[in-house]
Amino acid sequence: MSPATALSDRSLGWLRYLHRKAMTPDDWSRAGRPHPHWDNRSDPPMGSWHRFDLTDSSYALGLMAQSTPAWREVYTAILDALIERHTHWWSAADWLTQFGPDPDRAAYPEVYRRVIPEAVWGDYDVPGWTANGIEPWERNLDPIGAEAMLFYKGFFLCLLGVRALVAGGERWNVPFEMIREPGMTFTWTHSAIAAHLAGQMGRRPVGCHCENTKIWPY
Amino acid sequence: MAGAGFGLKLHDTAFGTDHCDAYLEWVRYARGAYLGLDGVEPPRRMSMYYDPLLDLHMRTSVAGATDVALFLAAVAPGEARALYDASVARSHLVDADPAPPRHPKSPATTLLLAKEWGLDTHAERVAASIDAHYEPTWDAAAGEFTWGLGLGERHPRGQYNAFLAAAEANSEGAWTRFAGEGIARGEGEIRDIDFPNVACREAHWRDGALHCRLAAKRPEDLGRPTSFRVRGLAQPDAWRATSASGVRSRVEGADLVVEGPLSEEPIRIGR
Repeated sequence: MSPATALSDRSLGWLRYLHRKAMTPDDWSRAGRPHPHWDNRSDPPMGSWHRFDLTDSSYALGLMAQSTPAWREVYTAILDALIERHTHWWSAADWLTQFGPDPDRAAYPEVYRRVIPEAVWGDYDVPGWTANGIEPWERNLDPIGAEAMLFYKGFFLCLLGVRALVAGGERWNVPFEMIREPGMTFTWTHSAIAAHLAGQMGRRPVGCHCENTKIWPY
Repeated sequence: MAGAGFGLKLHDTAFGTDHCDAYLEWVRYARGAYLGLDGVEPPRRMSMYYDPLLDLHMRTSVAGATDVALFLAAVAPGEARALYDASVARSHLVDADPAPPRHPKSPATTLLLAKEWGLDTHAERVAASIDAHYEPTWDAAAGEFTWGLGLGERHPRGQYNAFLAAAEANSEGAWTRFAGEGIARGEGEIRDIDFPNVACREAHWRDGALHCRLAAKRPEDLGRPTSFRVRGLAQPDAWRATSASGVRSRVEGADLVVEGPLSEEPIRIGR
């Protein structure tokens, strides 16, 4: 199997689909709602958030760009559309609505036993419940600045990184606003996020929290 | 952590930083603490997550570990391969008589990694399994391809489609090369293609010339007039496009404009 210098029919077909999906206008602000073609259904309760569709969709674009390095304009347009959505409230809807312990933790469905240790069943937050504000961290509305939310800032770095390598890093390495709601606007750059995360990793050798109190190898 | 480490790696490659070093320290710790890679035997289980306040691990089968290995592959390839081997030994996704996949993401990441490492037999088996179980679907009018996954939903599941599409697009060494080197760029690049009606199936620089091949959304579009630009050439008037399809080229501003009937014949743009 040698390095590909051509896109398959399937890759071209999926690129057309993703392009239409990314270019269909929708509103990721708090008052809006992402278009239903953005996936917030897969792998509940951990993965069922729209932002994962944004980041996951970028990986194929980086690989396609390797096959057509002299044609990248469509990948770039899609990646910018994905990143732009990721700067709005809906990208962090879990972190901005799930404060403190989950009030439903004693009434979880039986299927959650697959993801909660038996020893703490009934008195423990299911993975995916971000628990903003519980110990050991204070409440922080900035999902990047927060001590936890690794699975927000880490995968956002993947999306920004794919964009930087496909089309150059300048576009998102100038200050841009995140969340963009009254009292919830935070300014970051690609490199500032990377430096912030590397610092957090350096201070926490066992790993950074995704949801509060949970460190995931993934 | 693995996804975040991959994100740091991409940043390091793009900007020349060394942020990934902090992550590699964690990988050395995680080998034994979370991934079960510190023993003689391949791991059967690994930590799904760890609660440091309660000192509590939620363990899971290593069968799904290709999801982790994917992000490790470009940063810690030895650990990635060990996790892949342990995963396929438990998932049986690449056996001679493969087990039915239990979740779309695992076969997708297995296929991506099998292609990455040139494991052709593994790739063929898991690709066949994906085709048999995950409903590859063409919308002929739109020229769009997705995986329906047998879910009967109006909108294809984006997260699963994304990993399946990445696996489709990968080739030997491409994932690692992308993360470690980025995209090899030439003197100019193609712009203003009439996408999605027209796309580039090939577009790369070789031996001082830009080689491209267009792809039509629908076969009936072949032969219709189309054009694109090559931007970034230092002396555009020194370049000319040639193809068996009979393309023409001319200079407009700083661009070389290539035009002619839409064809899937190779186009060479050279001096």
